[in-house]
Amino acid sequence: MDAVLPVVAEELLKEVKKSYQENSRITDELLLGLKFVFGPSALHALDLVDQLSVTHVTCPSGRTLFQVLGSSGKSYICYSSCHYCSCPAFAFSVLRKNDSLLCKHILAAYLSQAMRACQELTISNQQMSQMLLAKDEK
Amino acid sequence: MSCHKRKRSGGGSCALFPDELHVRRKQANSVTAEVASSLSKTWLRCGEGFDSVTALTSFGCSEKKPQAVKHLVPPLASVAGLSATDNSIEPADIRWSSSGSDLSDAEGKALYSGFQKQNRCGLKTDKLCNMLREDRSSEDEPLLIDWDNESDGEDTGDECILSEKAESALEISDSDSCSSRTSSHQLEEVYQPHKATPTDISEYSSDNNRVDDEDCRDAEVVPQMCLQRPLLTDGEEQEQSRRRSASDWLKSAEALLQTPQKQATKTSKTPEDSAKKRKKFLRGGLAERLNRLQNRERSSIGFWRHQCMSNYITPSGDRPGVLKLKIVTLHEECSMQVAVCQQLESLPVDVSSREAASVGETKLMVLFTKETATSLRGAPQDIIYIHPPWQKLVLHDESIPVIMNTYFCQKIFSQENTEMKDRTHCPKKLLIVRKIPSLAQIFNLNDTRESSNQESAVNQIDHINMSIPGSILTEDNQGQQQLSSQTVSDSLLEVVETQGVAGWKEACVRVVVQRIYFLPSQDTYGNHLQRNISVPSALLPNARLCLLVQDAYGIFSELQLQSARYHAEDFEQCSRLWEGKVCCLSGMKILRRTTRGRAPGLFSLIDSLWPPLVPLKVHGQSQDNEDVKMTLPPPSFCYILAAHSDQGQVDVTEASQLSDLYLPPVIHHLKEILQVVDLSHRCSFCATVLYKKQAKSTVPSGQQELWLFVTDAGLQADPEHSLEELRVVPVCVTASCILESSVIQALPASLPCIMYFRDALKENGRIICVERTILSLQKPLLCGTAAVDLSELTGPVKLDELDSTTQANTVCSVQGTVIGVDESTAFSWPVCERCGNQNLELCNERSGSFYCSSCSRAVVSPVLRMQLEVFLHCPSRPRCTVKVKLLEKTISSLLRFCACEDGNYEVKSVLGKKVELHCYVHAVSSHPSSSIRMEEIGPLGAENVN
Repeated sequence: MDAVLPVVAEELLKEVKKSYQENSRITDELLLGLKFVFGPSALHALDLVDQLSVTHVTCPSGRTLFQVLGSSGKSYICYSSCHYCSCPAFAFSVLRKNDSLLCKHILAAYLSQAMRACQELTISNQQMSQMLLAKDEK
Repeated sequence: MSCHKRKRSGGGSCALFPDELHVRRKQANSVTAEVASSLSKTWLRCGEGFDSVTALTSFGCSEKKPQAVKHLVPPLASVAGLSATDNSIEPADIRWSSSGSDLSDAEGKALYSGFQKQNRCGLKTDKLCNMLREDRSSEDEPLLIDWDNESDGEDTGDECILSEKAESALEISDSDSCSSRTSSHQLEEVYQPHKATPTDISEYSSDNNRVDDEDCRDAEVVPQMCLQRPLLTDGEEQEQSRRRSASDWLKSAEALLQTPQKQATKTSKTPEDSAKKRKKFLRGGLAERLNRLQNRERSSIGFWRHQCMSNYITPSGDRPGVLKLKIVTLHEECSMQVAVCQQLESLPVDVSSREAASVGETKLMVLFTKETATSLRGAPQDIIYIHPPWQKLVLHDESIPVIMNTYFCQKIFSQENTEMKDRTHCPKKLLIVRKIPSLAQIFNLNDTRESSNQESAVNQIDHINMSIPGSILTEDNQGQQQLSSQTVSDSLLEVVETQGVAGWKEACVRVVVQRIYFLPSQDTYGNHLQRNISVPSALLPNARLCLLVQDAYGIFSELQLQSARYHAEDFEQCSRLWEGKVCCLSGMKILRRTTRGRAPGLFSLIDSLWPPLVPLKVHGQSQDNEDVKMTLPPPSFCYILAAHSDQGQVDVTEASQLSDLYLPPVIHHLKEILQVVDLSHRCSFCATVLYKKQAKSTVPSGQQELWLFVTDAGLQADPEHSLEELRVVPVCVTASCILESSVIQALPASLPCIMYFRDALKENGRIICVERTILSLQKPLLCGTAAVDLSELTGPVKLDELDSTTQANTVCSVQGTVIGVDESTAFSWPVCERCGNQNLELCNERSGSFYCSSCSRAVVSPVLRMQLEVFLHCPSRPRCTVKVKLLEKTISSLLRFCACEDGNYEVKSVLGKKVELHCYVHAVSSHPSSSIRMEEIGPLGAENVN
């Protein structure tokens, strides 16, 4: 049997989208469900959505990604075709410890999509490459 | 990985359970440990006579040890009133003491406020406190208020404040009482708060491998400890603990001495965290809402845990809303435990009945958070109860529903089953398979799934009344509550597929009403459908109103409204109400699914609405995708819907706005229609009806065809009138095209008249009005402007001249000379001038007076009716016998100058007269001889012919 949690998470996000599409709001049950499944990330991801921190970046070549402005002011890149985020929490709790399904940034990207709270940005192919190949400013 | 990250990750977790008390204590350690560190220092320095003030300030900050402070103060006071007089107390020192702890600012303040209250002991620490206070703020009270306000928005939440206050009160009373007690009693009391500490510390140090997980939660230590407090003071153990000896306490103090290193490392990890914790969420935002919910949930969990502890095993599974489950398998994903469970029907009282109970139950997938799982320590075959509130999530591809928000779990042991009970007491490490979800699998939020189930997809089982202490489950329990709100779908297909043909009870689909029209009622169609034009009916009992609707995905459906509720006469009103609007259909059922082949008429209409002008949604594709092109194939099927008996609803969502998807009928010139419009295509036009001809009934059922001869300005104005173009176009109105009564009335009475034809069918070069075609005298409310001049005809109507191309069932103008009279058809007869009765009785032959039997009176001046058919010689058809049935008006003008003798006319007087007539061509034949049979028709247009 495959992992259950991703399926549950996906379903929950769909419900969020549906609820938002139909009533422009999210029920308390869904919020608590998000918190149950995603843990503390849910609260922070919702805060990122509230702050409109997610930008959906597209370019003519068809590459897309999500740029999420973290609470610290640093922006992170989340891929749109697999679960990856450039934040340290992803590296630690998702990749290393397998404790979380997603980091708050990826969750924020999903929630922003569901709630149509994404900022849209189109950039050139070259700029996209630069974003994808960006080095850490350490 | 910095500690603050982990700290944050623990921020939301608060689900702690009765048997998890030790965990909590471990959490508490993070504070008690640091308190202990300062205490231990103090203890050391006690012996030294408290030379240093720094140590004093540091322990003064520890809220959890108020008694210790109180007790330790007298020695301090004896140290030459140092605190009162010594101005050398450095603010830096005080700062160290407050930042030296691993607490966030908020907690620091909380502690500080506790400290403040303690001041009321009236001891000498007052001054120190004042200094400490001055270091932060010059005023006393505002600080307290400020703290209250601030923590309101913090993770610690409301319950924290409450309990904090409660505890403060407790402290104050303690302080008051203790100040009046003897010092020996005080000494005894000092030990009491340390009761927990030694055990905590020993556990803490022995469980170092868990620290990573547990120390994250120190942000929440304050509320948890607050909740914990009443527990400790209530119990009898407290009394025991009071009687502990000083040596015990000394031992524990020794144990404390071991902890500071740990503390030191932690402190270094969390410098910037306190600032983050204070972060406020956007006002009115989702995060703020969740935060509030989370706090509420956390406090209910706290209560539950408390209650669960007090009556440890309460088989309360018979309450409504409680899930009774037997774990079948268990595995771990991320930090969650996933248990596949069997739902049990009833509470297993003993082993044998358990076997019976576990037969044929439904399977459920239950998720537990790490906290719940560690407290539950479930294992396969265990029986657990999950108390509400829990949530049920129905996955679209899985048959097993998922239970979430399982914070209130209980493992159940039956009396006989003691070996299971044992297992929980010896924490055997269970080997649980861990599954790691793939990162390559992204979530697709675009759901093509049905909308009907969605209200049940997440089901919250309502809260039990958590605020009543002492009873976990009260009579107020509420069972499963169904969300009864209707859900609106954008897709007809989804609703049809999920709801089936039986009917949509709850589902509601959003559609655009493209057309409104009549259809003959199914039951009466073909039996006694008759359109009696001469007697216009006020109601059309055989017609039912229908709506052609389209959803956002382009799928069409025809909704047949109930004739009982929507009369055909309401057409105008209905079309004003619905056409072009976005409506929500609910309470519908599917009569059938029809296809292009089975319903060509319907599909000709659908084709005229295809392709849509705006991009459609595509099933299974992102709706944000703007590149959805209109290369979609035209629909190949259509659902026929009908309203459920009385639940059917068509609700307009936006009354004022037309949908973008709506394609209004575009009114064309007749010429364009004749030349351009494809075969079997719908078209709309506006034309002047010149003449109406009722076709002979061909079938005994009485279905009658009607021919309307129409023209418009475009056809009339054609300067270079080409031979193949008709100036007047015959339009066939079939029996299936249902006419409104206003149209029926207008047709014989007020010809010529302007009429609007909507969605007529062009077939075989003819224009046919069939079912779903609408004829109206008014301009349709909504019609496309195809730059058509809809003005009425000006000047005389020009007809096609009779020539060799003239066909039957047309109208034409004829010029010719009368060459003969059909004497067999030439009659004249008197009719009653009042009632038109043709059977007048001749009363007096000589006077020629008549009696009308129907009027029962003598007819003074009877009207003379005449009938005459003449043969014409037409220059345009010289060799053709043209026979025309004349109108009376023409007859009388022909006979005007003839000698009349007893109603008999000389044929010769008529011959040779020239006439110019407008005629309807009945028949054209070329065999055996070329002949045309015509009938003169009345004046066309505004002017009279002749």
